[in-house]
Amino acid sequence: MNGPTATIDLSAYRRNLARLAERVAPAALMAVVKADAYGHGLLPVARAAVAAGVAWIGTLDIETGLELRENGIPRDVAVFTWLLGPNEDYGRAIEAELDFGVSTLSQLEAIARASVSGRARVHLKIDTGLHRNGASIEDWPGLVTRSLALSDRIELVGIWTHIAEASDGDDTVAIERFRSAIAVAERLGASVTVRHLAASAAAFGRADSRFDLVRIGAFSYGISPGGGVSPSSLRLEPVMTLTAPVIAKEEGLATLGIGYGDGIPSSAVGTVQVSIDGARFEVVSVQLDRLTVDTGDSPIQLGDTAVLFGSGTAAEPTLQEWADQLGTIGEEIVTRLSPRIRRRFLE
Amino acid sequence: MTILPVSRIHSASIDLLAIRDNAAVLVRRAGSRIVVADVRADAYGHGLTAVIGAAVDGGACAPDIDSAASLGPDAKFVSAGSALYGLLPDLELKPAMRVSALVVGTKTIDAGESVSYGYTWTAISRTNLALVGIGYADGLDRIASNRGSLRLRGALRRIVGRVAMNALVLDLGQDSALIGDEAVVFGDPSTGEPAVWDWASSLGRPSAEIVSVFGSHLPRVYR
Repeated sequence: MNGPTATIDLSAYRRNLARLAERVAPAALMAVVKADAYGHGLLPVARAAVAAGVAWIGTLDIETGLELRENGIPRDVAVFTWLLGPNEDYGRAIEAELDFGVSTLSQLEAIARASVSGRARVHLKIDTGLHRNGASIEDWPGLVTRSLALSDRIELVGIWTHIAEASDGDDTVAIERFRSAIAVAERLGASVTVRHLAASAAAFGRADSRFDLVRIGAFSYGISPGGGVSPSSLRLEPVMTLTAPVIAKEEGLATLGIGYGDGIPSSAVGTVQVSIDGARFEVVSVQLDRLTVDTGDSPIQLGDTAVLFGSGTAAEPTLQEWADQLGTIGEEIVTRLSPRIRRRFLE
Repeated sequence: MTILPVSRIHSASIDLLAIRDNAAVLVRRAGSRIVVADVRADAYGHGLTAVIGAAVDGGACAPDIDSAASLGPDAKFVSAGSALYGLLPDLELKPAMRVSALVVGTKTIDAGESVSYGYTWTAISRTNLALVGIGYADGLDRIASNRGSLRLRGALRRIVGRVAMNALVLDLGQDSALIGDEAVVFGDPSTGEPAVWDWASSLGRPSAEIVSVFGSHLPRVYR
């Protein structure tokens, strides 16, 4: 019997990328494939992005960036990494021609020390209000000046930030702070070609957030931000369909072979539905490796396939519905799925 | 035993001696019944092969994977799941999984400044923050935003702002931390670390779910 399966529609992914690329042009698009491509499967997704002409890939960490290079993502595709730990092996990463998103002087110095053959590609990060990574406005001139002084080892490629998307007004403030930081860097002698601030929602909605490059994760997978905004209202298509087999059937209940050990939140009880043969059923229990749905008198058969969420075209629940009903965002649901769930790729 | 690549930023560390010793305790308590290790869901995220080895060392039986789930309350067998992994507050049992992550950034913000997506938390006075490299894609539930705490530098520190996919922010107040410090989500309560059942109950989830999800996403390190 087949186990739980996440079917990944790579053609939907490519169509999303094409629509987003058209929308954000002339800014370039970075395809973000962190967290195993949002649970969709790193290598097939990254290869699809490259085949679709994407010239930037964002991996978050160095290890994932190296994995892409080792698996043939070509050197003319920039691979951007930005979660940098205190003990990174930058030598290998520089050899693999990864790009680094740098927030602190100590990161910059460590990269410069490791950069013995050729120059390391660096994007300096300014904190524009999110207060996670990024140099403070006070530390910014020092970081820029030092990277320019290290120009025999450091190629200053970009300046970037992350914004909170709390409100349009807050984002406007962040964009203004970003422009100021760029102006400060230019006065100090920097000439950067790649300025990037926006992720999916801002890139989609605000032309003034796009600069030279936008970083697109969620929207490329057809994951919308919620709050009434559906993928179709953005002309995006959900990429993942999650299915599980009916492994037991008795007294109006059907048991599916997927559970919280596979990443289904236990809070799905009483909140979400699944679809079997076009009809919807409530989840009444979630256990380690199984969940139970109330099927009433419906003629469910052992071996039927339940759709937990999908594109919605066959009346099945969508990821957006799950997210809304679970009080979270689609990103959490897909990244939480266990890597042990089989990924099946449709070209 | 499969040892996954060691991430320097976050990991689920698995104490195989704890699993062995827990198995021995359960075998003793079971008397004449046979204790069978429940290793569904990749041994509750602890790693199938390693757990079977440790549980067998402690005197438990390795299950036939296909039928383990259906053993049921057979008089001759007793299935050991949560207890084997030390997920219950029982003084004879030791939690096997410890989840921790490193501080990857530090920052001081002024009163009125906010943190993370949606600016759901705003500082009421000048305060020190630590950015920790773990998030919901690693298994740290997003509902822990502005609710859960991690232990860092000897005290519980509250998560402020939304937990992001790969990072979260802790409020340190007037204390400070250094990049590279370790923040513990849960570990061994006998050493003062938070217990997995406290973390789980603060989020309204079963402990088995917490360890299964972390264990399937974080790099596992065996002790």
